[in-house]
Amino acid sequence: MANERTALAWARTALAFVAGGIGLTSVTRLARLSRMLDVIAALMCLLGAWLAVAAVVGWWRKERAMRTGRPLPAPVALPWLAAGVVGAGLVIGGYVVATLGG
Amino acid sequence: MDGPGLQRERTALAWQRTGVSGTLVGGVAVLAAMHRRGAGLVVVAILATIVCTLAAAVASTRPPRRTSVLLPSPWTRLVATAAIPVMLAGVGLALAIT
Repeated sequence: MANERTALAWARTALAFVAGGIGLTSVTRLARLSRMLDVIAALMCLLGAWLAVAAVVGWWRKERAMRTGRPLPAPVALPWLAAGVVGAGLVIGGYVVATLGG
Repeated sequence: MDGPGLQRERTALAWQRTGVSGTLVGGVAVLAAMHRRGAGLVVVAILATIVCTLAAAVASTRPPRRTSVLLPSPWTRLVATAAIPVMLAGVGLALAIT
């Protein structure tokens, strides 16, 4: 059941990314900001979708490892999650600095 | 440290959290799609929201079982749950590129 809860935690993380992407594109259109932010929003949605798939695949891999007595596989999506968070933060932060400075 | 008797309750709570999160995100997607007046997007977002709400409702009303029978595999439910962020990501992608 811990494996099941882990997969659900990844699914909630995926939902958070999708929510961030939808929110970002909505704010971009409402405030008429640069379309570059729409690109970031699209990438966040894609990452969220990928994390959701990785959640199910990761559950299946760990379940199979537990049933066959093998070591649990490392989470494949974790580096992508960290890269996505850092990347989105840097790009949005850079956009804010550039907008305020210009 | 949690005993084995609490695992089902914790798992049910995890399902509820996921259902509630999906419902909230689905609601945001519905509002955003309505603002853009995309009928197809609204339908997809509403469907995803309804599924999440139902999943949360089922998980919250089902009492934790105390028997020691083998549990069914959650594979189908996990796949259905993973489909929700994918559907909502499609809505978000359509909103971003249109």
